Amino acid sequence: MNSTPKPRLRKRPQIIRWHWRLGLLTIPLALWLVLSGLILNHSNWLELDQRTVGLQWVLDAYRIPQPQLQTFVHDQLWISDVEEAWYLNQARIGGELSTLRGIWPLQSGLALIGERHLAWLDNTGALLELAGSEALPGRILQVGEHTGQLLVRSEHGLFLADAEVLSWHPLPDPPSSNPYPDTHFNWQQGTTSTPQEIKQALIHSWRQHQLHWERVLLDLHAGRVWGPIGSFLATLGSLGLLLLCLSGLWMWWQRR
Amino acid sequence: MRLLWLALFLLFCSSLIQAESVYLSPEDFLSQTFGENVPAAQAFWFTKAHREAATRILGHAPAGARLRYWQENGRSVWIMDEIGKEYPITFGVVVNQQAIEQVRVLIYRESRGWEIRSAAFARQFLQAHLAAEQKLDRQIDGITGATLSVRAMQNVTRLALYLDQQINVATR
Repeated sequence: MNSTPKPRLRKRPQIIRWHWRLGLLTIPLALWLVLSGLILNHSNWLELDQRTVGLQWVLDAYRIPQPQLQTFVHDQLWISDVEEAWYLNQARIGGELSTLRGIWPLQSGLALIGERHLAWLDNTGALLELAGSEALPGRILQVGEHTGQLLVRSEHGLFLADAEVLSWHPLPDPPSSNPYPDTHFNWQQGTTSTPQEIKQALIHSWRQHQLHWERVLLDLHAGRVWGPIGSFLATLGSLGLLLLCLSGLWMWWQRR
Repeated sequence: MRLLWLALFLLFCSSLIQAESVYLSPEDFLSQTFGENVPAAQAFWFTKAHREAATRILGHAPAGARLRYWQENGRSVWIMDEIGKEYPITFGVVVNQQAIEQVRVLIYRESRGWEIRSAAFARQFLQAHLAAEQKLDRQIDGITGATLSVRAMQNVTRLALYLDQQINVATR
């Protein structure tokens, strides 16, 4: 008496073969997804959101732009503003600030005056004070000089600073009825002759602060670093893993 | 491919935009506290002992060697930046008779934790004094997801109370 095999028993070897093939094909994609996912899962512990990417080719691949830079110089000290980040030579001062308008030598150091920030460095370059707009007479537009005193043009007019840059007083009217000519105040302008070594270091420092390893890993995990093909492969890898789980479950169910 | 580059460019631009929310400008905070005639700013210079105490309070050394403040009729105002998680939060603190009269978030730059700016949260600090070890004399309820911002606010109020004590000691 011939007995025909049950359909589910005939199907088993075939599904096992497909399960193996799928497993082999999925291995590289699964490794890529699992490893990058594992690292991302611990990104806080690894401080990936704070570690900046210094590799020039990665920064170029991400098309991180070249920043604008302006520099003021005093006694071989180069004070630069790179997209609202201030530097003394190559050392950063504070965090994100505002556009640097000028610098002013004080008896014991140097005042840095920005649109909405004021910093005071001592003669060694150490930060004595960093203050916000509360330390300024409004939004600063220009920094200049009047009879040897620090003068600023703010949105509210012209103001003179005291010796410690603690308080500001409106500029008194000129002795004659003629207003001061604008050239009288020697308004400061940044120099373009920044030493090449400092310039390159600042530009690189700014660019690397625009990209953290967490973002690179997120793009790597999603496949975006390889363009649409990468995204497609990441999707394939995920679907492959899903199918492996389902086919594995199905085989286990059949063997029970 | 163009769409991908556009998406990457937009992602990059969004990462450059540091969400800065100015709830009250420091100048307006001073005007609200003192009215039209804001007293002249004064400078608090950190001595070695002050610096050590401030480091214990903040958990890190204070930035700079001097801090400006405004004082009139027993009230002092302190405007300070303190980092929550990644970016500085600008706080305004009014101390009156060595107790907190007002604490406000003036500028918030973090992506999470903005709930600390609510008046209901800030009310917990009203009339708080400094207790032993430069801690507040009360428990401040935290906010889930804003732990670091809450800690920054507590530390800034503690430092303002400590600094107010020091300027009063100096003028006595």
